[in-house]
Amino acid sequence: MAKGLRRSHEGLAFPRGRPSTKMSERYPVSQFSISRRGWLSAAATAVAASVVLTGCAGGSSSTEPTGAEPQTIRFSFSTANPTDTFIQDTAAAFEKANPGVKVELVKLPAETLPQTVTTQLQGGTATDVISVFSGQGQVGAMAGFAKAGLLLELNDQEFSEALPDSIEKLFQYEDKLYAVPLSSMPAGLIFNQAKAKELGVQLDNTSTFDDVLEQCKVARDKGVSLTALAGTVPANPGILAMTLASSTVYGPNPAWNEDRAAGKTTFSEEKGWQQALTGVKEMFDSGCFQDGAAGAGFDVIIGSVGQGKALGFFAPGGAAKSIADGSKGAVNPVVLPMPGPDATETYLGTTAELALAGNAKTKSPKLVKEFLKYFSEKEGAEMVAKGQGTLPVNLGDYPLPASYEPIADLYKEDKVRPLGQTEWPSAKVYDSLGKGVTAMITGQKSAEDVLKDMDSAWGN
Amino acid sequence: MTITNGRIIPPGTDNKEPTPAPSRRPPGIGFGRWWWALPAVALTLVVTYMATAFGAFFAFTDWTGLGDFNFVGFDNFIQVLQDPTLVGSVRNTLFLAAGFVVFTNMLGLLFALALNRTLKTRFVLRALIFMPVVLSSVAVSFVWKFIFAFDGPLNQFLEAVGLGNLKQDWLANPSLALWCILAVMVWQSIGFVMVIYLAGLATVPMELEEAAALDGAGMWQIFRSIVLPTIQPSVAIATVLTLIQGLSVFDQVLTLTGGGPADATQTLASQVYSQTFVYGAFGLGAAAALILTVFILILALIQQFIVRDRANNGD
Repeated sequence: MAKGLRRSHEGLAFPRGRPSTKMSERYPVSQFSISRRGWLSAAATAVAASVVLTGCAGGSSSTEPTGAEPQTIRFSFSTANPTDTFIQDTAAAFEKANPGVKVELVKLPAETLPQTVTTQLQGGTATDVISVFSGQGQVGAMAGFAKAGLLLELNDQEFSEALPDSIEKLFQYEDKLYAVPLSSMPAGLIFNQAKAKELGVQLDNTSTFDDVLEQCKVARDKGVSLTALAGTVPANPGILAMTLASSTVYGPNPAWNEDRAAGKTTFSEEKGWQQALTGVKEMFDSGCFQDGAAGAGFDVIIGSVGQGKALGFFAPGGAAKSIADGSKGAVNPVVLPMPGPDATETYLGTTAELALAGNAKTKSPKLVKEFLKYFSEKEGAEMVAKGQGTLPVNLGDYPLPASYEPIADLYKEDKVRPLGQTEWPSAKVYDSLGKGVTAMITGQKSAEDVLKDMDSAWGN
Repeated sequence: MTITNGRIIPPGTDNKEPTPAPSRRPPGIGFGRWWWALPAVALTLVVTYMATAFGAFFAFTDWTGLGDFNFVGFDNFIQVLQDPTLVGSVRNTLFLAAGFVVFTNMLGLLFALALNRTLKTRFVLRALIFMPVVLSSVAVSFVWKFIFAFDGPLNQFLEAVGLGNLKQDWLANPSLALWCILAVMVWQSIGFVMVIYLAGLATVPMELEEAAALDGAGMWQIFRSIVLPTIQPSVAIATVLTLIQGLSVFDQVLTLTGGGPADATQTLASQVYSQTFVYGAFGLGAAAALILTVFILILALIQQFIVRDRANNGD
């Protein structure tokens, strides 16, 4: 890295032996007067300064690697739980397995990671390995970067072989691979089973949707809510709706997104989407969410679950480990699958949204690929999954954590579907869903209105 | 002895302004001054005006923040004006700006009048009322978010005083959320406006007020005919500043409601953020930003014209 940095700085420096030109020599004071020519000169100076600055900024990024590539790479990342160290641990294991190689870690705030990575890639200052989202549409998604030619193509056979067919297209742009998944996260109800049993609330992986509604009332009678909802954060009501849609939409038709893209169906026309959103409304009417859910943020979810005012919340499965770690084992939630409304079969939604990619301008493309392979292969992938509380994308013989026991059968029965939103063409579609669920709770919109908004956000 | 422009002139002295001594600077110094300002001028041009011009340029493109872009003419502006959410954000912006100007100036002036003279504790009270101004608007908004929360102090207070029927989800109520944002904005800025008016009230001659009182003028007449015309410059400054602040409100919206519930409290500034950084539609965000800039410019000019006209009439 040090070598790389030196090269980069040399690119910025003036060539040695260049005759220095003092400003006074080029523009003798006596030549100036407050005249039009003077102002023109001043403007020209300003423009020249901006051109020089622009030239300097772009200079370092256009340098082509020469000879042996540097054996130090930089890797920017973030974790949802600030105390997680699985990225650092996996990078350290890679270094240990590859003597002489160094990985410099750059931790970025999770809230602004997509914007930061976008700005750095566009400005030519991104690290060699970056964290991206799989699929397309949202800011920070892989497809947008690949389209702009900012990502390193992963053309080695091992990369595509390591990816399950069901999610391969999420990491491709124009049939070329540009990113690798970090893990697979099953999404469901993160549920405090022990507390529920204490209160006489009966909910497990065999429960139907009607059972859920019934147990919401039981929980209410005991002074708690079955689930906490952060209505002001569209991603939270959004994932609730998506867990229902996994059973009503993507379970019966895994290619629903392709049908929507081809114009064969719309959100408004799809019965499964109507069932999913009607299900959300039924949950609200049955008192499944805490009072004031529409105006709540994530802090309220954490507070409600921590204080025992709510028994669970909807999130990717890694949250179960975060809570167990945070409470030092005092609370050990499980991940429950959300049964589909109207007696539909229950499917589990999973997401491989978090991904890693290489910077197209890296001076160490081979090393970057090796690093990404390490995260894709068994050892690295399992180390991430264990530390994050998620699963490797190739499950193989990986032992499911205890918190995933209620969803184990769904994996065996192949009732697992990728959550659909990573394939949607715009972040606005998922945002419309999340905001729409909150609007249904506040009475601003009906399920039909929300689905129309999603169609409108889709764009055709 | 007379007092002219703050100078005490002894009797018998010629009451004339002193003539400034002719400049003996060599001609080169005039140029030198101009030259010294050049770096700052160049930086301002490059950093502020060129950046603004580039931003305006992208309003006519479909740029996503990455890679190439196409020119789309006025499509982004048409979309801003046709999208119900964006039109709603324009309406919300105007509501907040108008409410902010009216309430902040009314309350700020009232506090300034109350704490101008006589009251012994006025200095302490001024400091207390000014205190929110020095706090970060994001920090203040988080505190108020806690107060407005369903289990928060406001609802607990209402319940405690027997008004439990008024208890509600303040920030998730589409018809109340905007008023809550306005209340927070006004609460934080009253002290700022009060200070401007206190400075204005310091210029009101006490003799005139006393003379008017002796002539039988009431408090309202004194305020209407003496105080208000005298503090007209303060009114102009305070209203223009609060109008600009109201039109560009962002922190409070993002912190308190995030533009929700379901975009019910989106403003033009929060839309600029959402379109640009959440949806990656830089072109649309730039168009919304340009519209906001033009809004602020037009309304500020209109307001300045109105205030200037009144001041001239008062001369």
